[in-house]
Amino acid sequence: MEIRFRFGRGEELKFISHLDILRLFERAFKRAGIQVAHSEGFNPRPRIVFAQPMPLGLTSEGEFADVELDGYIDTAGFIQRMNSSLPAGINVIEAKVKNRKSNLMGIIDAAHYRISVKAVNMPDIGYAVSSTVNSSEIYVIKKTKSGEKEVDIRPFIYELSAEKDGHTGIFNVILGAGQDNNIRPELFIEGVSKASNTPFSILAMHRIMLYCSKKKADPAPLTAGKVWITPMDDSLL
Amino acid sequence: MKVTLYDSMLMSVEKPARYTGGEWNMAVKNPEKADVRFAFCFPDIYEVGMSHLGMKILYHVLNRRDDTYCERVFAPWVDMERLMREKGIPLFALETKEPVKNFDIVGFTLQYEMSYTNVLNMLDLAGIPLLSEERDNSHPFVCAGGPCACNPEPLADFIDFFVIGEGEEVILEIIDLYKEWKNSDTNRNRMGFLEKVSSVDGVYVPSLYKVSYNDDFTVSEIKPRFAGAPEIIRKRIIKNLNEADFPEEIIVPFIGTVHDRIMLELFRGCIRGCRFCQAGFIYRPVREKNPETLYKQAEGSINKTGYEEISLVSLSTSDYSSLKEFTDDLIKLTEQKKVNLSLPSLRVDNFSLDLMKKAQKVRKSGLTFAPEAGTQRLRNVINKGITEEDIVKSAELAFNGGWSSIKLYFMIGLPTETMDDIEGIAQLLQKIMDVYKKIPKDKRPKGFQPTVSAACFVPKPFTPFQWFGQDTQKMLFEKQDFLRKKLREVSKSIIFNWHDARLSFLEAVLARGDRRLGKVLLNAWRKGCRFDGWNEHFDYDSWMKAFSEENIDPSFYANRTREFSEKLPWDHIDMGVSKKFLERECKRAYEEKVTTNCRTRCSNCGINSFIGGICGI
Repeated sequence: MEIRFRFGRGEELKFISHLDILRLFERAFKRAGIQVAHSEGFNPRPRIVFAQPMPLGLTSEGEFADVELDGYIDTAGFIQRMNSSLPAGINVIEAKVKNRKSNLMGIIDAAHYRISVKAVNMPDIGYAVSSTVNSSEIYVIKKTKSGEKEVDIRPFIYELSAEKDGHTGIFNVILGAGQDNNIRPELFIEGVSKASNTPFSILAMHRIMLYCSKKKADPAPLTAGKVWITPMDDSLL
Repeated sequence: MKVTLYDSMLMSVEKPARYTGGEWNMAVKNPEKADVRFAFCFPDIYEVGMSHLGMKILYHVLNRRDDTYCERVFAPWVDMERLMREKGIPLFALETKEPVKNFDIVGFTLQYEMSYTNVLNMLDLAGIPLLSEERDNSHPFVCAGGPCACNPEPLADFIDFFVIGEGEEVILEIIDLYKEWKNSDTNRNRMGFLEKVSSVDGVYVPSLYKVSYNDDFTVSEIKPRFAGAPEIIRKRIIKNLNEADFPEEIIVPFIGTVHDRIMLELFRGCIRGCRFCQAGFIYRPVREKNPETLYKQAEGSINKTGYEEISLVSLSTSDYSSLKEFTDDLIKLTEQKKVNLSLPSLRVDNFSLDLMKKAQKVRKSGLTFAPEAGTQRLRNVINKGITEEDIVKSAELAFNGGWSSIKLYFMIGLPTETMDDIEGIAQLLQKIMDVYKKIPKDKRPKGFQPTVSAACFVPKPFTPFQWFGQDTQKMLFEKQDFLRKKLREVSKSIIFNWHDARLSFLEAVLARGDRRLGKVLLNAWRKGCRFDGWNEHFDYDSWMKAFSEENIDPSFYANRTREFSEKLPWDHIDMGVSKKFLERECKRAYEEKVTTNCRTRCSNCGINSFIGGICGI
């Protein structure tokens, strides 16, 4: 059987890498006595797929993974057993049985973040939002495996609002995510800094949710107001 | 009070999870309810320290007590150290993040001489005075144990007390004594505790001993200044390993460590008696766990950790009496649990290759051979009971079994060694290459590429070579060059690794050093020496400057051959093997005579009477 589950990561574990998370889950499954199916062949690997890696320093309540199991377990038992086998700082929030074949990594289109920032002179945070939204393009340097390139991130800032809490500004933003147009929170903050002419630095970043777009075939960039569905949506399972 | 680790700090250092703790199976306790807080310090980085079985055992033994909270402390890597010093953050323990300075006892494990400057650096980062004599009641007691503690003298100025031998029983006695001292209403006196603890078997309080020297700087006498302290400190051993506490719920790190797997200890000690090997002498006698105990521990560890690999650990796994029966059962377990079984330190023969094939369905890891010396004559000198025929035959078996990655370990600078012996290494490689080429192309593995590693021999205390003057660096360099040339003549495909002779020289100094080295260590540390075992941080010139400023000739310790009659700096420590036996073995070495292993015939090393009975061999 296959299970899709959502999990979160707290402050305690925000400094471990994506690879460490993979290993952590493999070991937690073993401790929980939940037998994960393995790939065939020369180097059998456990069949676990994660939607999106978490960058170092990110906390989250909206991470997803698919796991293929040998044998059957009900989802309530799955959640309970996993949570008693996971270290403090990581927990399974919900789980559903998956019946459809779909590549979890391929269906992610956007991510919802809460990003706390500071600036030497904290401006009217509303100005940072409006100058970003009103820019027709925002070019920043994106580091990729093959080197650096300049990209326009504006089309992938789908929704943006902000509030001020004392000297801290908090951006509430939905950014492009997934395999094609992934905008990391750091890159977004660089863009906002550029658009509003205010050098912001990140205090904390939290991922609230990963989203899929309903019309996968729609080539046009999504716009604000679009209804998102989560990978847990029954239509995807 | 916890230290504050800012996100910005952790985001800017390499592998921040080295400093954040919280791993599965970490001991979580209310520190206020612990009478004794013990900081177990490993003087190297997290990934190295977390690979150490001894720490796991003692952490477990201590934390089983409700009255004690043992936490882990590792040396912060240089990037973190810089930030800690900048921001005034003291050395802290991973479990509670509380400063080490507030603990009751700070214990270091000494696995390697080149970590001594890290001990000093960690004490300094903790804000604990480096010198034992400068500490008062506001400071923790600083103790140390581990294999290097068998010659504690170079660290005598810095350590309040040493624990000699195996720690899991004596540490509990020390905790009891400490609790009693701490809870006593009378005016607590630091020296009072040290005097008391000096009467515990296996405990050595260096400040209670006076060392006198002859005019030539050799030791003339080591005497207790305090009547209650023993003249000879005898190592502690665990008599029955089946009854000894062994941790199953070991900590599972988040980040990869050097040995990131379950380590199942089969036995302690070794029957072989290779004359260069300190472990082979100081861990005597051989004590095996029975297969039932081991199976139970294997199963428990797998279930409680979720580890994907388990490794059998001992000094010579092939010598475990019930190896076949045990591995037959164990393989069934590891298959069922989808756990990989790793088998280091196995002699390569039909049985072990078969076992490895069964155990490692996945990938064929490399095979390791340790002939240690290139000629039969020299192998006899070092009592490495392995013949050329054995080695060549094993290699042939390995090729036929499909292994192509072969590593061979040698030492250069062994006693009586000549250039012929060095050339012997190349000749041995030639024979192995010939064997490979003789196998038809379709039957042998592709891409055979042997690796030859040549360490520089470092004479160690409590071995038959403890009197031997190490080869000078010049000699070692020449031998390395010669070997490199000869290996290239055999084949350009041989990968040749060698050790930095300067580091081996310093290791030899510290291994057989005396108390006079304390000031050199302090001086070298002040010059910035730390992480000496790490290539990128080893600063030989600063060390040499420290020696010359303190007017100490390092070659006195490294390169000088001692007389048998000389009083050695560690003569007041009794590791169970007698000096007479070591002397006998040394003479036999020079006569190129092999001594049989303990199971074939007892050689009267002394351990037998030490434990008051017959070795369980």
